Amino acid sequence: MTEVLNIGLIGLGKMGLTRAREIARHPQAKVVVGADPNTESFKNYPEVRCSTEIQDVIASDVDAVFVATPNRFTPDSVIAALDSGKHVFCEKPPGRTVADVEAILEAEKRNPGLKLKFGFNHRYHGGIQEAHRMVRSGRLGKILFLRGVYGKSGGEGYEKEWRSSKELCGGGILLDQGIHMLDLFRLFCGDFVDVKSLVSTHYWEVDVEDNVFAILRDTEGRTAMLHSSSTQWKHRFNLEIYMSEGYLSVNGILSSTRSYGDETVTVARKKFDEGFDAGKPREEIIYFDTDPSWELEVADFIRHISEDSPVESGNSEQALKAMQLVFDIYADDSKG
Amino acid sequence: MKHVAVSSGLQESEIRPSTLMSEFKRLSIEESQSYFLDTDEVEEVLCPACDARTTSSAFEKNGFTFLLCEDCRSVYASPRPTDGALERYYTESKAIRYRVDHLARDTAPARHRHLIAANANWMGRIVDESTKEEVKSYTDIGTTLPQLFEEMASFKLFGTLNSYEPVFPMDETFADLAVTVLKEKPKNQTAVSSFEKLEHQFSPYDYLVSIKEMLSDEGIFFFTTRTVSGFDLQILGGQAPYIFVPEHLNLMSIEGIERLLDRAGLEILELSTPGQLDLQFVQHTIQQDPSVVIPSWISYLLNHRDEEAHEDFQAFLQKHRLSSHLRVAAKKKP
Repeated sequence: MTEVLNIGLIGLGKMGLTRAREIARHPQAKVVVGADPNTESFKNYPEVRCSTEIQDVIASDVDAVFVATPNRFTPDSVIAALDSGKHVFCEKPPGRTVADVEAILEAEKRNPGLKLKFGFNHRYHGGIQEAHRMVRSGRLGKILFLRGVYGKSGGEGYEKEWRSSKELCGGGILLDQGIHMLDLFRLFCGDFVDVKSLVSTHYWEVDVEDNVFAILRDTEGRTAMLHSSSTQWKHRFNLEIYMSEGYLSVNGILSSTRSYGDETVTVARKKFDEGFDAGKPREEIIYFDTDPSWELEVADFIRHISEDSPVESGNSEQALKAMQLVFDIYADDSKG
Repeated sequence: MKHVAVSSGLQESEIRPSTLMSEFKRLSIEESQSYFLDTDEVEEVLCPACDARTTSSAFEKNGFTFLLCEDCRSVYASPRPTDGALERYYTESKAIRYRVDHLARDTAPARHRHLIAANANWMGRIVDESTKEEVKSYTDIGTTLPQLFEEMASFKLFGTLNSYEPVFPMDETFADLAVTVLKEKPKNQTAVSSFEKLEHQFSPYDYLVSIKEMLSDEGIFFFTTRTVSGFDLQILGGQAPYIFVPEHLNLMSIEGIERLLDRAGLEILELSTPGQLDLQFVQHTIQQDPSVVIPSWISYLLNHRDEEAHEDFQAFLQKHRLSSHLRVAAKKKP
């Protein structure tokens, strides 16, 4: 293994640029080749050989490839990179269908020495990590239920974005953004076995959904409730974890524009014995000043390659199960 | 870095009842005149936070001069009682006895509910997050509320619980807690805490260095203190009735404390000002002494806005690290 990993980058939109920035900051990695329909995107990376052809990255001698394309192009790019001997970091969602992910996993099995990691960066946010530690510590008892809201406003031109096209994406807001919340539900509760949902397109003139309400039940009978929306005019991220001895609430998620507000974890223990104060427990709010998620996620991927260790966070099983949940939610609504 | 805000409906009267506080203050000031009268028992010092020399006068209080550091904006008493004079005072004075026998004891339930449980949760959370040591040890320095150990024991996080130089007699009512009272400074501690002590120290720098020596390689020091960067001290300055020698020799700014910790070889993990009482302190001060002058806008806020506005204002202070109650977790630098 070379000391510094040579990286190829497929897709240099918003996510590709974010990954390029983090790779550039990592002492053990550098982007040497990239592909995007618009090679102008690489103007800030003069040292990168750029092309409009994905094949130029696949055929290069890089150690690893980051795939940050619209969903339609993701599976083919990932599979080709794996089959040409490259480790792969793939943005979520990992395709347009469950079958896409299964095909990727087949390629992973064919290439057992390679690392495959998916970009579920929310697992690396300070608020989520804090909440996860608290849940694992057991100090607030056992999880009773989860309630998650993740919504954005769409915005001008939303209908024309590639993210709003079924042909390019395979789904709407749930597949694009809500999948993060489903992945977090799984982080805290594991597998879900029952799904009830209402999926609708009420506002945006698009051929994918703009609102999803779903109720899920896990193997232990615990419930998780999701609202995923692209008509949330004020951006919102909120994950509540109610437990037998108290509760946690992750509010906001730090982003480059701070449009989801401050990232905080509110934590409290339940109180039954304080008379009129019952139902108003002492709350502690933890504020997170920075978002280390992109840096940590890229660093983890590079570490797994360097140490030849299994991918823990964002592995293919987690990606497949999150994708299956998305399509279980779509399927339940179709039954109605 | 992270920081924390808290809301528990704490009222000043619950932890600082005016009758008890008045008597404690009266004894403290009265005794400070006798204990620190001799010029051999006081010494001039540089800024205890950043070691800078450039100062201006901040205020005079009960015969002591408080200086403002022109560099880090900390406020501190200089000349101040020497280490030896302070030790004698803390061992012998009636004021300290009164604090233990009355103030601490009578306010223990409220302090337990609002402060002790919160501090224990805070320490447990950070130790969980930051250390991988298999057997963890914890020492509280100068324990004033032994209920802290009930909370710490409930986590089952630490193999050993120690109290070093407790102020409260640990063998009285807490014999069933497996707490070792230490006479010698411990070493290799996973966590060391010192609540409301830094402001009393002759040399905060020496104090922190001695605490660093108690920590294991992954060890974390937890402390609370008053910071002059906080709202009530910025508004009241020397008019704050609860600021007096020797209780408050050091009112360091947040920037000063950051520099002090760095000089002492400690790296901040979390720095918060989760105080709930700044606005109440100001309100009660002007109620008790109408001659105290405060900015008219603050007076308007206090007199023409309701409790909800006051709570929101206090929450704002916490969120932006502007309360005078400072809480810090710091680890040993590698």
